Amino acid sequence: MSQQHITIRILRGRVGHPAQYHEYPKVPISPSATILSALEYIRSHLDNSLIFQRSCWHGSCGTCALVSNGIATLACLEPLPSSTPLTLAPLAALPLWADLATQRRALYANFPLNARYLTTHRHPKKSGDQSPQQLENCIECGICEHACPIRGGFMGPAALSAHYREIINRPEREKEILEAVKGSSGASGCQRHLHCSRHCPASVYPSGDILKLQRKLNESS
Amino acid sequence: MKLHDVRIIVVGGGGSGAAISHDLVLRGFRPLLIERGSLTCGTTGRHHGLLHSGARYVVQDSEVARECWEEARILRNICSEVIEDNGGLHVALEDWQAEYEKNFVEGCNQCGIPIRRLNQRELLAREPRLSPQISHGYLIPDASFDAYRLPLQFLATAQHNGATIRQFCQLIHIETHANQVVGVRVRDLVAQEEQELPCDMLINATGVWGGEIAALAAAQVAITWDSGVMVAIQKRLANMVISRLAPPGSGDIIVPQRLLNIIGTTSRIQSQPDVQQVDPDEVAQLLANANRMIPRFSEEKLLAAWRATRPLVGGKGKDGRVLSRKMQCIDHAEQDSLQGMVSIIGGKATTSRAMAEITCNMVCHKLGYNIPCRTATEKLLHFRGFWHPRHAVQPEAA
Repeated sequence: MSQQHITIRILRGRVGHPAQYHEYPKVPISPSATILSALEYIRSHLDNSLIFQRSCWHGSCGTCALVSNGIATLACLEPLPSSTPLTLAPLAALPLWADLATQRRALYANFPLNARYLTTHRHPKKSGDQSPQQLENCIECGICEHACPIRGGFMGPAALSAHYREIINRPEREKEILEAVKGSSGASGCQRHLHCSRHCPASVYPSGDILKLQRKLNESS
Repeated sequence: MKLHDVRIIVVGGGGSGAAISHDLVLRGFRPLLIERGSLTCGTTGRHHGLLHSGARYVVQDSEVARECWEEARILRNICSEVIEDNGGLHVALEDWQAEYEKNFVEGCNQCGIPIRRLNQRELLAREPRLSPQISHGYLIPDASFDAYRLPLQFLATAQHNGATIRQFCQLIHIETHANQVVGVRVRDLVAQEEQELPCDMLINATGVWGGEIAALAAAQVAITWDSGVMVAIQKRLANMVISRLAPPGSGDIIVPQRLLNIIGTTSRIQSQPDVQQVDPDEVAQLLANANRMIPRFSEEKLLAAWRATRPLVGGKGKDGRVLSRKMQCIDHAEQDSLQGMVSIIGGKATTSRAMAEITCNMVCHKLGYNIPCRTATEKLLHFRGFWHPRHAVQPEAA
């Protein structure tokens, strides 16, 4: 049986150099192949200069987020399509590092300081037992930032959602957190496009968190 | 020479390289870590995230079991923010063996791992989705952690305290002079240029690629590449780590993480370190075994199936299951008559801090310094601090 192949076009660039599409024909397709496994194939067989981030391979680390045929997704969870060509580009909302890798620093610029990442509020039990501990669902991949059409002067869905979760995890910080998210750069800057929630790969629904922040701000004003 | 001026290069941005950089900085050095890809892109990040109490190894390998138990307690103290500390259960399926159970209980007692026998009702009260075929089990202090963010806490702390971390920076040549490593040549993939970097000590912490890196200096590292497949389902059916009360085998650990459960792990000796292919029969085997512990596990939506390769110490030609998970630090001066280079291999994600301790002890000894290790008690900074300095603070306790 002849092996199936796909052509992958990757937008490659780095700071100070214009990005260009590089074409990699003949990337093999297999039933279990993902975009990430295809990128690893390109790196190890065709071009070891290709730069992309990856770590966990199961949607937990959030590092491999990219834009696949115009849609932001996690490369490790996205099956490799059979329709050719496949076009890949870095997330547009974060500063470019090189090729498909983006700088995470900008993502965290507006996150609340020292916010909890471990929560006990996800599975409240009926009995008086302490709920199980669970890491936050948000894997900080930046896909919601890419999906949000509002650019500039807005904290963005990832940071706003992180602020809301901090209120849930540490109710004693509510006043401080609400102060940080008020104004047009904060929660009221959201225009309810809802793209953040539609594209989130980790069931976070940032737009819902932003709405709850807006309600709390209205209550407190 | 001042400690700041000792040029130490750590190769490999996985769990051991991260912990080594942190350890060196606390001892007063200013190391440079180079990583060919992105951080934890090798075996480290693909780990299922089980924080081993050591119970899994008490029968086969009590030394590793003791190491795990000690390190699991240390990690709970220094980086609790990325650990889901919900405990674990070792459960007896229909084919459980009384003799293994006896050895398991004795082993846990000898290693000081606290366990408690639970009957079926007590098990189901903790994890209602467990199979009713399970007769009894043991409560053990297992936990799960974020395989990416835990090493990132080591790196955030190391960087904040003076280490330099360079990603997409590939080691391509090791310069030696009179049987002494004197420098390296690296390729900066982002800047697209090569650079010469002098060094007094090179630490090879590249895991499954340890042999390839050592070969650049005509030195040797004997590794067995034992790869395993893991499968994640998009449902958190259990909050605790569920293991089978039996000798380690394929598909005998279910690990929770966020909204997922992960079933692991198969074992297959490979002839090369870079293998990604996941075979459908491995996935089917894992899911079938998961169903024995949690019925209908396989009916949940399959999120991902992936492969990771364990860098096991020595043992060419043996079954990966019987090879020890022990760690080994190699002084290439003794083994290959090459000064200025050490390699660390083996170990487990749970014991990465201890791997760093023995490596840095050896490095200090070779460089003629007597500086104690401080990593067992030094709390780590928030993982976000790696990416943004305003988050380089110690997470507040719950």
